[in-house]
Amino acid sequence: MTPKVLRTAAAMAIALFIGASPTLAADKLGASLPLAQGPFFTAQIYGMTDEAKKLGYDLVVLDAGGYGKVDKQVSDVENLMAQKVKAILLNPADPTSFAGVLAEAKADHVPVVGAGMPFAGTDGSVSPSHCEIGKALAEGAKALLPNGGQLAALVGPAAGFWATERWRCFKEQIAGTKIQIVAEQASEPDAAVGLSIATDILQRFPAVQVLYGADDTVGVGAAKAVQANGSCGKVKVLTAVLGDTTEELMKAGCMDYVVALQVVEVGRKSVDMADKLIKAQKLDTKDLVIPVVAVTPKNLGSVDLSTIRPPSH
Amino acid sequence: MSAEGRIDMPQSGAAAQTPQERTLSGRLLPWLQSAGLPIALVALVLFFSIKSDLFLTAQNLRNVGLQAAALAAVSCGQMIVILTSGLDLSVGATVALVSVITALAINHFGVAAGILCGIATGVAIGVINGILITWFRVFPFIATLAMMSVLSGLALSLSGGTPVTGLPPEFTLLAYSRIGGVPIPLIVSVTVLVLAFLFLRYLRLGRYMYAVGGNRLAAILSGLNVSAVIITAYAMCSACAAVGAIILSARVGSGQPSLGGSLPLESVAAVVLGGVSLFGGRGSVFQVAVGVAFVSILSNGLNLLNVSSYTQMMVVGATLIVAVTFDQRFVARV
Repeated sequence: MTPKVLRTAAAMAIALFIGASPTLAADKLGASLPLAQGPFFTAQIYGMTDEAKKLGYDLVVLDAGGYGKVDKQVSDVENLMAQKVKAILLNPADPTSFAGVLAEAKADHVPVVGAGMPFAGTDGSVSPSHCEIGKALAEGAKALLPNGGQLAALVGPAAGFWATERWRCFKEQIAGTKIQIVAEQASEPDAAVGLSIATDILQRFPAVQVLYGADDTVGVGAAKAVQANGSCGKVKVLTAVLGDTTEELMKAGCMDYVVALQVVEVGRKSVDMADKLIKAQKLDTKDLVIPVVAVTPKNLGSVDLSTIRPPSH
Repeated sequence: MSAEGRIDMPQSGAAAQTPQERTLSGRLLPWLQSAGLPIALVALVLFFSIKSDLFLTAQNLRNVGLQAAALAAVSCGQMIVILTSGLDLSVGATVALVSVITALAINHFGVAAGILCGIATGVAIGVINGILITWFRVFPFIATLAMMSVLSGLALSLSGGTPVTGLPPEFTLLAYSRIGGVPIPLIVSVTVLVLAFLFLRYLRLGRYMYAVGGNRLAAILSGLNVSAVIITAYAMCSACAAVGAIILSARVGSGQPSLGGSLPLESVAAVVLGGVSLFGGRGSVFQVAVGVAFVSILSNGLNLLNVSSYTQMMVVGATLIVAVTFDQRFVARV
């Protein structure tokens, strides 16, 4: 056999071996969220998925099925570790509940990124935190009530960490102003429930000038109540998260101030941070804050939506 | 006829058989009732083992055990109530309230006292449920549904709507420590199951649970204090829920006023899937253990296959419907 034939045979064998060997599976990233529905989480998942794809990762998303299912979310993080993910993106229902499982992740050398808020035990975070959102909402209340006035609040679910934090920081931020809180009601994050409660509030407190909705579920409910009451423009509505319905209500003149979160960007940056942690690269900052965008009817047309929500289908 | 003969040990022999029992379906149904789920469980394990190479890893199996621990404790209590032909929908809210009270008590009086406070709270809730159902003749469904609302409100009120934090590490470590590689929560829940087995099998009061559920009128005519038996059943159910609450609180390292929201459905699903009849008087701890394993492995396996929680909820609900249909359509007639 000539050397040329041998070389050819060897090359073919190597080519066959390479062709027969299984393609290398992409590394996995895990994401654990309290929910997978609503404008916030769908946008966050979109940002994470898109960025993970660009960086060559498979993203495994587990959602606990509700803010009340903290124990399920702890289990989800354990399940992600069992799946041997390279890093975990964690948006916790309640950050105080993850100390034990985060210690296990650390012991397994699995980096964890706080995807939505900074909290103890993580290797980094991308936020705005809920407290910062509450403060931004307070700035909105001050803008809507420059001379003070009555405000009623739909503060979101009782025992919902995000809602409690937003409301706590909102109140701290408006302390010392002439804004008077006349009512605060907890409710499930449901537009229909928000509508009922806001309707009752408007009957009980006809002098209310601003309704606070902790997010765009109860915020939409509040705006619908104002709309049904024929009070658009007279009773202002303030909320967080710019979903499609929120935008429509703002165009209709029944939503007045929205603290828009750049949720897609939060998702993307969380993945970028996880990628750097996996590759043991230096982080520019451990706790990255993505600024919120104040949206009013005046600037609605000029806001860049690409970082706020997924592209329309 | 003793409760045991009526329920767990059907009389054998052709002479004791009814015409229905002599038919193929008459012989098949009791066998399906006892062996159907274990077979389904093995099939489920095989399915997930094939679909995911991570399923049979030690870490994942430990996760399954850890995640099943609280459900096992709660389901054990739910079974005792269902044996008396009752139902406890307040187990989830009991878990929430006990979680908050245990955390508050631990912060003030220490871990041991906190755990005792939690268990005592559970027993008290169960006694109230039992009194509502027996003395005031409120349907179990309504009484425990209303109690669920009361307890949820109380948990939120006591905690101010926020988690009770600051628990000492020796409490939270309970959930993450192992003895011989076995997570402590799993050891606790297995202990609860064993105690329940011994109670139902060897104590007279345990046999009375079957008797009351199997035929309440006969139990009354036999001179049993049915009210006391039912109150005891609910007290035991809530005590088991309290154990579940303590396990979950240690896992999440805080007292959570919203803990346990899915437990009423999951515990009923585990019990009924296991083959415990909703009509009362039929069932064993082993069946509940298999039911819990089925629900937990189903959830874990679907997680590994990256199925969303909403689909999982549909799967658990649909499985429950199938089990209850089987119970209503066939088992009740056997």
